[in-house]
Amino acid sequence: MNNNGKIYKTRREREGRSIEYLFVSHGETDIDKIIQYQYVGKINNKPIFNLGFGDYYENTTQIIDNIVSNNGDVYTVFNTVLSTIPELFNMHPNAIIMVRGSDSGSKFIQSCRQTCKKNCQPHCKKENRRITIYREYINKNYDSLNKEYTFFGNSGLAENQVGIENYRAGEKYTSIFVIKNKRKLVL
Amino acid sequence: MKTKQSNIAVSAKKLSDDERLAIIASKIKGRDLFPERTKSAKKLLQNVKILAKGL
Repeated sequence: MNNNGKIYKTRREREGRSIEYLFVSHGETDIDKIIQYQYVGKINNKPIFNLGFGDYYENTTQIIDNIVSNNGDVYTVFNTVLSTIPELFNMHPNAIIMVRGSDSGSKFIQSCRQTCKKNCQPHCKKENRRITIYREYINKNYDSLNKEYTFFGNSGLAENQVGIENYRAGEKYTSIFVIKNKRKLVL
Repeated sequence: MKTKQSNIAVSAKKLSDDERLAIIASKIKGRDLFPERTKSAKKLLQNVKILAKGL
């Protein structure tokens, strides 16, 4: 799953139930990036992996996922993240991948309003920008992606009880779930 | 021209990508790297209803 564009070489790590991919973004600066698929539970006996993605800071060994790097290589970075999805399904064919943005939810808005000078009302314009990138990619490539994957969406936040529904292009989901379609045996 | 790196230690400057990533891998081993996201994901899954077919 990628735009058939340039991707960075990744290093895969596997520890317990989580899987990490590390790579270096060579844009205006060199930035170490980490993708983590963290096991978070099961639905219908299928393991769910939450996709985390952020920048690694060596000085503090922290990983920050709520800043915008603006490193000039957004498509290469995005393609690199997408390229790890088929690999995850190779390791866990029954997995459900859960994708959410670090800029979705009430905590992000509260944090943004403390420092942002734009004072957007009534809605924070910086909210949900990350998940929107994934949604737009799915919407744009839905027919071809749908041959290999099935998508589901959820529009709610952790605080509210909400449903996971079959993906509908155009809906403003805050969480996306992906499974790999089973291959049909052709005789 | 490349600007000063903000998140790469000077000591790692001469290392290749592979070497650098190997060091990072050893430092992050076994860690939940996005604990807030994991917590939030688990909370969402506790509250969610499956309305979809095929999941």
